[in-house]
Amino acid sequence: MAKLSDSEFEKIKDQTRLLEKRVAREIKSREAAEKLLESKSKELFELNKWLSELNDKLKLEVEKNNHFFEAINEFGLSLVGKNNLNEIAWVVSEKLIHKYDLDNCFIYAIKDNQCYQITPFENQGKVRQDRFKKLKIPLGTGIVGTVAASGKGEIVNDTSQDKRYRINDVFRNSELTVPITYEGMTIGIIDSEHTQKDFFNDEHFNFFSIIANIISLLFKNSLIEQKNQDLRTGIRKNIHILDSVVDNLHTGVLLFDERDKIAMINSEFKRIFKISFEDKNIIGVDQAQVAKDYEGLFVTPDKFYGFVDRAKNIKQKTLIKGVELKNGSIIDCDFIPLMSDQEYIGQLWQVRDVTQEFRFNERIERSEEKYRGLIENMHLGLLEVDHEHRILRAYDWFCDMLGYTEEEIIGKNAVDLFSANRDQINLIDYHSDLRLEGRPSSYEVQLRKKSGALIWVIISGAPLFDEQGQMVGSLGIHFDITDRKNLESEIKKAYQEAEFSREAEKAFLANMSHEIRNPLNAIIGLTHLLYDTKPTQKQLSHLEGLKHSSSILMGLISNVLDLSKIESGVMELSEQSLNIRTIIDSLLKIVGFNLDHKSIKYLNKLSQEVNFQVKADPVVINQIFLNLLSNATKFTERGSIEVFGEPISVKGDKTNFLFSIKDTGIGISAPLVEDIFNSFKQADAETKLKYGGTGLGLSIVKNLITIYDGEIKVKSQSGQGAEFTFNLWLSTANYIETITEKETFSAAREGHILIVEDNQFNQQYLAGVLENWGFKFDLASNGKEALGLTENQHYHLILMDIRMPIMDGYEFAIRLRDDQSNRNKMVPIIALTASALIDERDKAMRAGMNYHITKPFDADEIKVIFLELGLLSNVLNEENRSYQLDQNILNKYYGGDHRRAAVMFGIFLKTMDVDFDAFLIAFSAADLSSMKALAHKMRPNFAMVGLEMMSDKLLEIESIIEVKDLSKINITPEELRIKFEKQKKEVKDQLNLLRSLL
Amino acid sequence: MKGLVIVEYLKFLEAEYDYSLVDKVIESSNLPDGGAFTTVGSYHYSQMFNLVSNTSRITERTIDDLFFEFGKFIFQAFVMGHSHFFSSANSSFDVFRSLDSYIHPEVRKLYPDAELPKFTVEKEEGNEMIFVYESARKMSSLASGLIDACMIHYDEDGRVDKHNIDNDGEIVRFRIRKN
Repeated sequence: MAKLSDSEFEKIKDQTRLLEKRVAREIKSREAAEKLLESKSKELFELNKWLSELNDKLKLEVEKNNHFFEAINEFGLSLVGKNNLNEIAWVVSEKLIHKYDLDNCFIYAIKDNQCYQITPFENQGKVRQDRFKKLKIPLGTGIVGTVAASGKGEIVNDTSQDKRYRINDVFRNSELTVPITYEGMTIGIIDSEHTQKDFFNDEHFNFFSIIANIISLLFKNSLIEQKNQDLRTGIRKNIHILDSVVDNLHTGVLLFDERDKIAMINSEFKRIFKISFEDKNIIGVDQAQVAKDYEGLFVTPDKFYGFVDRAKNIKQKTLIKGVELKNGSIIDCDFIPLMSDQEYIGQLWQVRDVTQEFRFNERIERSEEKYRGLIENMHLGLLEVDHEHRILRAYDWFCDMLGYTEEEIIGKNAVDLFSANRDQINLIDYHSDLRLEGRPSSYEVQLRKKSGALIWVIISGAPLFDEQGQMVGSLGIHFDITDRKNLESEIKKAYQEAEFSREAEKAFLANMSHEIRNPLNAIIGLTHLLYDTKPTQKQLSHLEGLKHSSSILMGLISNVLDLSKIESGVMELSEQSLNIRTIIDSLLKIVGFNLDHKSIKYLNKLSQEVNFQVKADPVVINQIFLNLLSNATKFTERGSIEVFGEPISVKGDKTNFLFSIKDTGIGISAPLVEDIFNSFKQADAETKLKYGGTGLGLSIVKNLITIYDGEIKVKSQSGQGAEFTFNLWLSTANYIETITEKETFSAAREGHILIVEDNQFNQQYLAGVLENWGFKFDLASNGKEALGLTENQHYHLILMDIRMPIMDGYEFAIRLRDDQSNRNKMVPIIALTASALIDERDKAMRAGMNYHITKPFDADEIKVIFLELGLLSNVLNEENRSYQLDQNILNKYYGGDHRRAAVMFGIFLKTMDVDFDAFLIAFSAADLSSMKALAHKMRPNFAMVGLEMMSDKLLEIESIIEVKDLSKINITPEELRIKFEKQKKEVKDQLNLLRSLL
Repeated sequence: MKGLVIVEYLKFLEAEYDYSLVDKVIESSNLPDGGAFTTVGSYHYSQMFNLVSNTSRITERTIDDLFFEFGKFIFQAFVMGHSHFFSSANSSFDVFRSLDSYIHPEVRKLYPDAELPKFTVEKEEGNEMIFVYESARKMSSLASGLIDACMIHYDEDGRVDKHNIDNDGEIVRFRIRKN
């Protein structure tokens, strides 16, 4: 072996040292690394250990929870299907006891503030009957009651320390109570006890609470289930009803579902389309298939299916009318898409067989057209308007009538367009309202033509109906009456002019009558007076002449006035019930008194048939007979005057009477007979010279007879007497009326009258008048005789002559009024004086007499007084007496001036209607200012005719209007009107009375 | 400083020279544990600097040169240790791009106390990429070596410009243009 050099050796030594160093370093490095790793792995170990502990804990927790939820789940499952609280309670109690080995578990139901125990479970599921007393615990009592009241569950760890614990039971030491709540209300309690103290923990509490919730949910379910059950029953019932309703409809019904397959079809539908399949064979069939199968039924299937497709596309309710089937039927078809929340769920077809209706309408339309054509040809303008007067259709003649074309006026308002003035609109509205009630009516109205000219038409309107029978407006038939209207207004104008001149004539006559008669009365009165002045034979003869002349003049004037009255038509008839036989009897007596030295027998030879009441104007009848009788008397020196009469025919309620008056006078020579009835004609000049008179008597008679549609003829020969024959058509009066209205005037009550008169003639006359009126009377020839009579008999009135032998009228009156014991002390006395001197009249009054009449007087003058005293009554019955004209007022205003009164009464009757109607209209419309003005205006007029009551009423209304409270007026316009009409009649009667006195 | 880096540096020195140089450097660096390093341990970074600066003194090579060469060397260790990562990337740019977003976060998961530089890609456009290196340890030369090695790994050819943004070399911008 070669020996190493030193340098080599050193080199090896260095290398060795270097290696050693390197190894040492690496060992050191590894040690450090090991140390480092060791510490790291220790750390890891600790960490791992901690993690695995954590894991174990977690596992335990999860397991526990799993048990909890499994138990809950099991509970839940065991309760499924149990809806009855009782049943649930039993299951819960039993399971809870088993699960936790509880001593017991009770469930309570809460009702009316009481907890009712419904389960009696004890450990091992054994029910100790002695324990199950079905406890009833009031709310707030014990632990159960506390929880029931608070709704919060509780754990009582040691019952012996809880004062609320009520059952004295040493074995039960802890208690758990939780509420069962439903919608915020405590409806039950789960309660459990255990022998151990502190037995119950949070897990129990949670579990119990969850069970309580489950019970509550089940309870809710059971309620919902009950509701659903009811609902299902209801729906089933409704479906059943619906099915039978649909099937029995008179409308064909076909229902498609959302896939356009038939879902329902009813009998009527099958009938209309002759479908004989049973329901089960047609339900579910596709619409397209149906359309194809029944295509052949339609007259124009393409048209119908076209409509159907369109209706389906637009998905809107569509009515397809008048679809014709090949078998002649006509149907209306309603397509109704069924939508639910925007979603198409099917379609409903309603089909109605309208064949009859359709044919019927066709016929109606045809006949309507026919009649419209007819009316047009009759030149009647037809116009159809709706309820707002908008023109729906105007026919040719109507357009011609008003100068428009139909296009110009269609759609316009007919009232606005045609109405001539605003006043008519009310009238048109009134008739339109009638139309709304479906009533036809006609009225006259003025229309404006296109040219502006006005025409009068009669509109006859009727409701207008459309094809469905709905009233859509009115149909007016217009008839042009412009020509007639013009004529009417001309006639009216002429009539008014005539009326005006008649009024003037009337006024003239009234004046004449008064102005001429008054001085004449004075002449006659003074002539009578002169008789009492012991005239010489010559003077007496002059007086006779004066008396005769003035009488003739009086008669002349009366006749002239009467004739002009009749001829001018002024004669107003006041028809009353009267007895002709009685009238003739009275007249014969009256004319008999004037006989002077003649010996004439007056014979009433009326047939027994002329013995009933007729309706006629007594003045007219009296005058006819009186004139004829006077005439006969005048020309007869001796012999007889006979009156014949008999009914000869009857027409309606009128009887034709034939009368004749036959005398034995001088007769009329043949050539003069024809002229005899003309005014101012007497037999001849010679006769006139011999007999005097105006020659008006027979002329008046002829005219008066004409009033009752009669004719007069005369049969006479000179020296052979005369027979005047005439007939009268008189209404037969109601029999009952004849009882109450025996005469125009009759005794209002039983009256006994004393007549004191020395003149035999006057005695007779007064006796006759009183007898006519139905009064009893006694006669005395002087005052002394009369005083004797008054001592034994009570009288209602004394008629007293003034100048009498033995005791005159003045003395009688003074003695009677002074005799305290005489029962007739206060009886009214009428003085009958021959003097018209005021002096004499005053004397009579001073002597104690009440009334004064100047001789010669007539019955009417006495009548006025009798009426005033209430001894006579006219036709008014008792009931109406309160409305009678106030006689005192009449005297107050007219002082017995009957003429003036008559004029005023006439004016009243003529003018008051207008004002009173206006007043009533204002009253009805509550137009206060008009009412007041009119009441004020009318008031004096009522007073002037003696209707003070009405006048007062108007004054009352006037003052009520002042305070603007209409409710205070205790009378309706209608009542007022009735009153007014009644009083108007009285005024009219009074006017007739006044006229008869003139 | 991770033990791995120091252990790899000593391996680099032994590969460049021999263990005697390693010994000299260790001896002259006056290290606390006498240079007994372990890859699982962690050491103060001054030990690394002592080693490098003493190497520079003994071998008369610049520190930048040493770091550059060491970069190239340690890249191989990275490729060996994390081959899955490099095989999934297709280019050096892929690697650079994912340094900050993927690689370093992954490193931190394993070594929470690791001190890592920050790479921010400023621009990438076709064959050009600019990114900024930022580290208090001022070891951008090491980065340069790694970049070089990486491009070589992906058979790429190009030019790397390095420009100090601050004078100390704590922040450095790299501009890489591939051919």
